[in-house]
Amino acid sequence: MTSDEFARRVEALRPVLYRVCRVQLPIPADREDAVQEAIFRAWQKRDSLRDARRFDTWMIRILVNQCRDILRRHRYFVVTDALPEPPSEGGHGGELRDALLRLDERQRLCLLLHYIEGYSVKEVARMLGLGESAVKARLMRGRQKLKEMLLEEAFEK
Amino acid sequence: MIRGEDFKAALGAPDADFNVAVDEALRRVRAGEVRRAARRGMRYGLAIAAAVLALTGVALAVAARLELFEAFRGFDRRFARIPDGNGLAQEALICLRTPELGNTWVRVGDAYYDGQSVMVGYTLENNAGCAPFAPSDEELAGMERLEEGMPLNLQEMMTGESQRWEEALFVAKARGEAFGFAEHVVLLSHFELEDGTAVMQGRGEGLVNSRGEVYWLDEMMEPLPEQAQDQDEIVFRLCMQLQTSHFYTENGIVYQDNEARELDGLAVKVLRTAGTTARYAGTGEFGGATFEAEARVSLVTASLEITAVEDAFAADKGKRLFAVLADGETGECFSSGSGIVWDNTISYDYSGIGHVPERLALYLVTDAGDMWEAERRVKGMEPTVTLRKEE
Repeated sequence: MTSDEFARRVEALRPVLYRVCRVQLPIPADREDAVQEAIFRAWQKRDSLRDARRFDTWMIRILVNQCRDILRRHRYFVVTDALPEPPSEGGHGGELRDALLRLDERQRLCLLLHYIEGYSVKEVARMLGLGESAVKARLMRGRQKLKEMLLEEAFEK
Repeated sequence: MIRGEDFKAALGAPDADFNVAVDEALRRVRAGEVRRAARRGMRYGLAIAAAVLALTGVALAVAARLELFEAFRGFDRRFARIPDGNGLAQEALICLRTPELGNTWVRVGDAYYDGQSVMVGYTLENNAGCAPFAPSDEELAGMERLEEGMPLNLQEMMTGESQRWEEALFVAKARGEAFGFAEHVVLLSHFELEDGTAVMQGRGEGLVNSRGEVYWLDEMMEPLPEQAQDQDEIVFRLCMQLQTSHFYTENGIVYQDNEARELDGLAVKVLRTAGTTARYAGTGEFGGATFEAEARVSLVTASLEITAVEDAFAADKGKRLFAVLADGETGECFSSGSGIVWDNTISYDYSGIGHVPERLALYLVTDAGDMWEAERRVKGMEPTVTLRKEE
């Protein structure tokens, strides 16, 4: 894979990469670190991409791991949301975002990747290093929690 | 009802600092400032290309044609409409010898080129296998520890052999026992044009027949490089690769690493199938905004680009815009595409429908839940714009 081809594929994924960071890392600077490091790691490990058709799955998996590394590092410090999220914008969008971000991280990622980004259960399983049954269970629990939080049916599926 | 698009909008678009971070990372990649990770020592010798039947450059009838496109017709309607007559100038065959798998045969049997798309059908014989693997302490230290669940890169191998090894791995993991295996697969690495330009594969499909032969159909990623577009013929190499994944578990933890080794490739020459592409253009209005649309259609693929005049899509940023493209006479739809409005131009890619229409009907839809709903919704409607064929 040439650097231009790699860059084109990353560019196409940019909004998805942002949302993957967004639902995992509350601090903007961490998101920037995570995406940069993930891009560098992906480029360095491009030989491990066994099938170019699975670039999305592979790239997102690397980014998820990078976000988790950052979260783990932060646990060594008592960070009391030193840089809190800005208050919710008013209206429906703010409620949706807050509800999604209040979910358990594992359910949040599954919901984001499956229902919002449209990846199949199988692809999500590969991205998160889970079995398909575990992904389905998290989707079910996450959807139920969202329903409770939003007091309405959150998803059509 | 809340849809995924509502959540996307709620999460917002990448902010400026995030975009700067991505741009800077990609700049460093392009500038060669990010080096490839050092590989661990290879346990293998060099692969040997034992035999290559190179092309002579003269179009010859293909004896014992494999007719791989025929095998895929049941899965993809495009192949039913590709004209009879193989674009392949001459059958190409190579035997790749590796210590891991022995002889792997790659045989190209069908190919198609229409000036904007390249498709190649080939068979792989003895292209995959597994073997026990026990890492040294040094090797284990270099492997990635998987925190939970299944390995990421384990492919579903058509022989089912890897599934058996995978099952054994997870049995050992559950028991806390030590167990490992290496999975070796020969696959296409990339295409390479005559001038050395590498082109990634785009879509691809694999099939296995009742005799266990693996059929692959790969397409070059589009758009093709300029020098490969609209030529009378195209010559390229199918560059093959041996991909190896190691999986190992002990004390209930799974470790993995991957490596790839470039093997030899085989040259392929494909003659252009004439009269199978067309360009279209039109100007329309959507939501009070004027836009220009340009489309390129071949038997197997189509692409569309719509550009709003004077930033007219600005109000729709972050929204998904579905573009249903259909034959303007018969109404037959190309696979519908959707794009996110981030700037003034949105690109869409479709599968072809096996013919080149006289005109195209384009329907733009913003508030559909998915592409099927968008297609259902436009039935019986007037198109947003009709695109006329250009000379």
